[in-house]
Amino acid sequence: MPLSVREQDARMRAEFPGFKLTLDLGFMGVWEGTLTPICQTYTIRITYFARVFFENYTVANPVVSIVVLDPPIGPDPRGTGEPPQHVYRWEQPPAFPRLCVYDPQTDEWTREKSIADVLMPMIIKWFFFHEDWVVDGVWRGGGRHPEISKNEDTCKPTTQHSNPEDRARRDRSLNAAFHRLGRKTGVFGSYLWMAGEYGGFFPPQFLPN
Amino acid sequence: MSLDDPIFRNIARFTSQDILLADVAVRIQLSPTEYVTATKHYEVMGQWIDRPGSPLRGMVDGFYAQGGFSTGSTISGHNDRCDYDLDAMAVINWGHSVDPEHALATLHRAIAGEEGSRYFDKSERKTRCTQVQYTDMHLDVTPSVLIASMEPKTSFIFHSKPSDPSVSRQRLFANPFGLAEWFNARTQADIVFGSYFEQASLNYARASALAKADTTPVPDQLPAYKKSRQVICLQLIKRWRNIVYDRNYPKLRLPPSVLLTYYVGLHTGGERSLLDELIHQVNSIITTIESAAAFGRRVYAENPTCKQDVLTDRWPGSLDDQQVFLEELRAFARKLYVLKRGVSLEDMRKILEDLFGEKPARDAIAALRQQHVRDNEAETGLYIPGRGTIPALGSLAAPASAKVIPYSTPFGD
Repeated sequence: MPLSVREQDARMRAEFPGFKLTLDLGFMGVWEGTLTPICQTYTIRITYFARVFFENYTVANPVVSIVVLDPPIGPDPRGTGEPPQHVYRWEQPPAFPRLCVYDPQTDEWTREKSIADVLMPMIIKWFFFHEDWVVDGVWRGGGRHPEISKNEDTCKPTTQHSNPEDRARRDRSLNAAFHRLGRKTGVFGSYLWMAGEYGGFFPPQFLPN
Repeated sequence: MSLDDPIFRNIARFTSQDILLADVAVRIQLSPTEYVTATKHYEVMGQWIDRPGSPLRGMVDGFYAQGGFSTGSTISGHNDRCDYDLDAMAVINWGHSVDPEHALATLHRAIAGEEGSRYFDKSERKTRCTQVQYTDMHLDVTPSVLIASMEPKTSFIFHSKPSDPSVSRQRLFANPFGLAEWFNARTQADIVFGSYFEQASLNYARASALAKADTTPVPDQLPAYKKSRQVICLQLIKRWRNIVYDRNYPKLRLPPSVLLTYYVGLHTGGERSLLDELIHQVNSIITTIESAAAFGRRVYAENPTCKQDVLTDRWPGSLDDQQVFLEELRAFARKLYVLKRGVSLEDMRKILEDLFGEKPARDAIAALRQQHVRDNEAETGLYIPGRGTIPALGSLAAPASAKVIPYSTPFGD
């Protein structure tokens, strides 16, 4: 059973009191706060989907996204043309890739596990090895790269809504979902408009093509 | 040491910046093996100038270390890892009115000896001393005459340059022994930092010996390495001064080590981290110089144990010289503040290399990185909740609140 946003937040407050739950939509939570793995302090945002299956649609977003807000990781941290290691870049702004701190094909972290107790230490570890890599270009933190084409992103949704009928059905569902979201957050409008407003929280693949 | 050990618990609180600065100091100081060698050089030289046949036979009343060795702040030359500057005072039983040139020349003859003797080709006459060259280090021996009516070991030293008759022969007051005693009394090592630095020094010595296949045993303890943060700061400031002057002002006279020693000793008090202490010391020197500059004056300092021993007698030669140092100190302080604010490992490497030289800074950063890599491989990596920090010393010393990082496989592109 995935942990709810409230349950995750309780552990976050206990372990990382500097992190604030900046958005709680019930099925989704967003935390922001700072980590100082060595000396540099990073502000990060964690977006978590406690629920991805709904009546008529499935949220295609990754169940958790970790983005460094400040200072940005950047597309070329070493200044050598090499992209940052162990990140997801697909449809992310180049300066703000999502961190890839665990292997999604294992149960190293799942929604049944605490973000504070399991994911956060993995993020801290990622930061150390990222900084270590920036020094000399050698990633010494272990891990693996996906066995796919270099042009593909492992977090790219596997099912695309290419059929117009499917897309229309999905849009109707999303509109309803966004109205519910609007009632919770006090903001009303079409889901396209709201998606724009919440663009910071919703990665692009949530938007219609 | 265990987690219950209060020393261990306190060491675990050191920041990465403190560990790196201490590690740089470990790499620029006399190693424990070199310390033992230097001690022997002092001992042998003291006996050598009093040997049968020496012009000073029977006249040597004392021979003791002065300068950096007496305060534990000897550092290596930055161009060549192995070139330490050692200083000694030879107390000779002459009258106060001895001719300065006679004193300096006689000591030089006593050291150099006859052609073919051990130091003949290794000694060089200077204006106030004779310099003896050894492998990896040189020793400046200054002749002196005790002034019995003054503080213990207050002496006359001499200045003469036979190659330039326009330079007047001088007799100068000096009490480097008193200054070192004053400095050492004001900069006592606290047990936590002293123990850490001693162990870090000995560990580095063992690793270096292993790398060189040197079988000379490294002792388990060496109290001379229980240094205070202020001594480490003095070493780091001297190192920075050497680098910045060599890089930017190779023809200018360096602000003297004895003056820096006095300033660091003067501005003690309060308990700070190593980085905060270094910032405090640099800012204190800046304030002192700014105060003099505001009145259009040069700084002036006396040996606190001998007012006639003027520590600023040869520097600053002019207000311009003083201003150069002041501007460089301000730039130094700015970089230290950047370190304090917190930057990435790569930026720390660049700053430390710029301030203290490429090799010691690079090696210190590498040692820190290696510890955490080892921890990760052994699955003993730790983090501290709250700020989300990895303990600076990794699994070697971590606070009780530290937790184990669960195994993970970074994925993605």
